[in-house]
Amino acid sequence: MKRCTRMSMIFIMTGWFLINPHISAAQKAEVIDFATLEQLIGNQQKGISVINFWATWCKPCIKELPYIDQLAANVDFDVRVILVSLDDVESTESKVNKFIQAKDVVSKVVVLNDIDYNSWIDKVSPAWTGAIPATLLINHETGERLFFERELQQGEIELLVQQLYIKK
Amino acid sequence: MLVKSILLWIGLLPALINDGGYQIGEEVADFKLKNLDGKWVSMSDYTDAKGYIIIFTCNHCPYAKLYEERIIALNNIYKPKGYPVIAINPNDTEVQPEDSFENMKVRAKEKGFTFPYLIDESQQVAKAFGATRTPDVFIVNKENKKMKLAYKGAIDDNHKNAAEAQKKYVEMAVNDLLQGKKAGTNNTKAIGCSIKWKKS
Repeated sequence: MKRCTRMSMIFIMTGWFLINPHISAAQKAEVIDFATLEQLIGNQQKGISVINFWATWCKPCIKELPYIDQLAANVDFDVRVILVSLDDVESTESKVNKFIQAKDVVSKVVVLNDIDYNSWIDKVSPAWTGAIPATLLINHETGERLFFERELQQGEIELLVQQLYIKK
Repeated sequence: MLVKSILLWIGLLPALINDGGYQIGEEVADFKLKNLDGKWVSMSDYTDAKGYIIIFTCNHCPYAKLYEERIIALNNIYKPKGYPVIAINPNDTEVQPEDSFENMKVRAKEKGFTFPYLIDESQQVAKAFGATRTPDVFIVNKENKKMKLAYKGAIDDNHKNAAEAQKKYVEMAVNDLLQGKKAGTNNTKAIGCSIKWKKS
């Protein structure tokens, strides 16, 4: 009897999530440090990773973000996008989560809680001076990396990813 | 063939000149930029200066705002010691209207800036220094009457809270220079707002 009740509860809850796509789609950004971000990137063995550094207050970042967010849907090979927010960690809920929920962001979003910038900027790319937006592309099979310290245009990011993918 | 390679080199020239700007130890060219009172300011105007703390900053950027008080403090500490702050707004004011000359005046008055706040309308000074973001600091030191780049990078390692900064990079560098030494740490990085370049 008890088991039966529990089972029906699970069915009811599953059904509720299925008919409420908005609730299941609403993602929350995970707060991580730089070492965890390195692990996230390092764990990947195949395909292409796109790591974009942005913030909700950064206008050019917000402009290019949808193009990067839609990347996985717009190419026919394995692309994983990580949107790394540099917003203050205290505003994760009020700014970052609010933004990604309002914009229905589909890619993984993390908030990087590591303000000793000088300790990790060079590890992303020695070419990075620290301005955002900045985007790192990695082909995990060849190890090749491309880095851009500027706003990417619509269509441009797809081309760059295609070029990096073909090179394998 | 020769023409072709010359053309190639001419084509590459701007990239070579702008790539990264001045290196540490390299001689820095003076500039002449308009201050908020309409007067023009150059490094050479400060005849008694031992050097300069040149800070590319602006009105709109949250990082720039967080550092305003610290920039004022730097000028108050180091101007009497021979290293005045010169602030420069490098942003194109059409791309970023909040950084217009009029808004610069408003901001400087609100915050009580004790140093010149210059506008780099052509963005040539920012390009010469290789500035990329706001805030971005370049410490220039006078050596045998030549102006040499002694430090470039961040103000400190904690944009959120000055009191919690572990490494005050600019203070460390100027203190080294004041002791007649080279800056122990002469190149650091920090997150900042990209300079808003003119749309060509």
